[in-house]
Amino acid sequence: MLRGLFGENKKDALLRAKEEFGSVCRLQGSSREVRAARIRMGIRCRAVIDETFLEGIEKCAEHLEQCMVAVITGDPRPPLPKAGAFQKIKTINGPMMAYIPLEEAEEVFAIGGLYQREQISDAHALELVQEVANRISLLLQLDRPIEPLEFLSEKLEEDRAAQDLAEIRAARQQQSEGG
Amino acid sequence: MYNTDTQIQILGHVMRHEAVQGALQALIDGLRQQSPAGGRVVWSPGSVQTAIQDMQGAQHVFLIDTNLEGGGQLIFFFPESLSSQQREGLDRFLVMAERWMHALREMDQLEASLGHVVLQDPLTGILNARTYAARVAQLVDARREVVPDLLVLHLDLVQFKSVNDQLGDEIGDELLFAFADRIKRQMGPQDCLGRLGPDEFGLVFVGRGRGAEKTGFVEKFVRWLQKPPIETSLWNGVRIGIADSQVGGLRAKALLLSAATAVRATKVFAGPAFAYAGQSPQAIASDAS
Repeated sequence: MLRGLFGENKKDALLRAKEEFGSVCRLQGSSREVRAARIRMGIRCRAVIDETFLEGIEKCAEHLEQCMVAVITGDPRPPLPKAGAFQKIKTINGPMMAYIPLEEAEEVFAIGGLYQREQISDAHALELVQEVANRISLLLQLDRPIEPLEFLSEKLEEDRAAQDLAEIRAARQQQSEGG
Repeated sequence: MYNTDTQIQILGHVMRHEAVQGALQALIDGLRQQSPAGGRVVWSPGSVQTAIQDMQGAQHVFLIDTNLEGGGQLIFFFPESLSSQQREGLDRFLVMAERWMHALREMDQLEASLGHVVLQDPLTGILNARTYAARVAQLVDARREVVPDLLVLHLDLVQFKSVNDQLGDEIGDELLFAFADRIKRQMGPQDCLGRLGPDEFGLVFVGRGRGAEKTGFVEKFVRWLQKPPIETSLWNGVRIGIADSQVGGLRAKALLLSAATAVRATKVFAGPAFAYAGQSPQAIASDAS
């Protein structure tokens, strides 16, 4: 059988990831250990959300390309790509499999697809994925919600800064022309 | 006619060691001594082909083909008919040569693994304090002939102890790992990051412009740095001391010291703040974190 991370087979790794998520959701109280477990799971879930979004982008692009080929060759369209609840992520202890519920994973994956097809803007994609992240944060009872897609929020900030700069320059131009 | 009896691969990076090159010379001397009468040893730093031309007419030839930059081979050529005595001599030498190469490879692997441990901070995988200081000195030397455009930053996590105290060392480690990982994603190929203490980091930016462009970059970066790297409300942000080589000059120790002094000056504020060396510290608005 194929051996996976840390010598576990892949099936065991997936089962463990799902079980760990469930056990953290069921934790009661706010002891130091409980809060630490929640935060640790929050870090993993953020990585899974990011990876799932990127996978949605990539799989959507591949699917579009396959559809175009199918149109040319007259073959039937390939089936729509599907999301998975698991992702391989980088952690302090090395790579491992991590889990978010399938419903949330499908939603993030679909948002990635919409983003790839330019049906939603950067800001809208970020807003929609943040909603999913908020639901997972509630399940995990995090004291600070997961903030996913940092690369996208940074891009948005840069765009906003560039827009502000352009507006300031335009205003100065108008002033100098008026004066 | 000559046959290629055996070939031994020599790793290029092993070959660059002075000691190894000396040992190779000893190997050639050994070959010369063991070479039967009429034999010659050819050490070719170039191609095998050019050396083969030089072999014509020789009865017994050992060719050492080495390329000290990219690796090399030991190739032994000799006639098909060798006396039993000659064969024994060659066999003894080949056994010795193989052992020698094996030992060299082991030494090289050991050196590489030790180097990895010694150079890096084991938790975050970034440079440790000593290597970071050496890297800064190296950057300073490299920039001496061009533009002195280094920004040396000393980063100090605000009240990091509270994370360890309230959530445990494991979460503290997670936070440090995530913090270093976030910064790495913002770094250019020449920039470097090191861990200077339990909750202190050093960072060098190379070539981030001049004047307003550089000021804008620094202001944006210090605000960006305040975002929590993990999902906890115990994150209190970062204090930053900055030494600019265009102001303070190009001396590694002075830059490192200036950045460390500047970060100490920010402690007049309870929360995140930054200061350029020799200037007043400025608090960073809490909305950034």
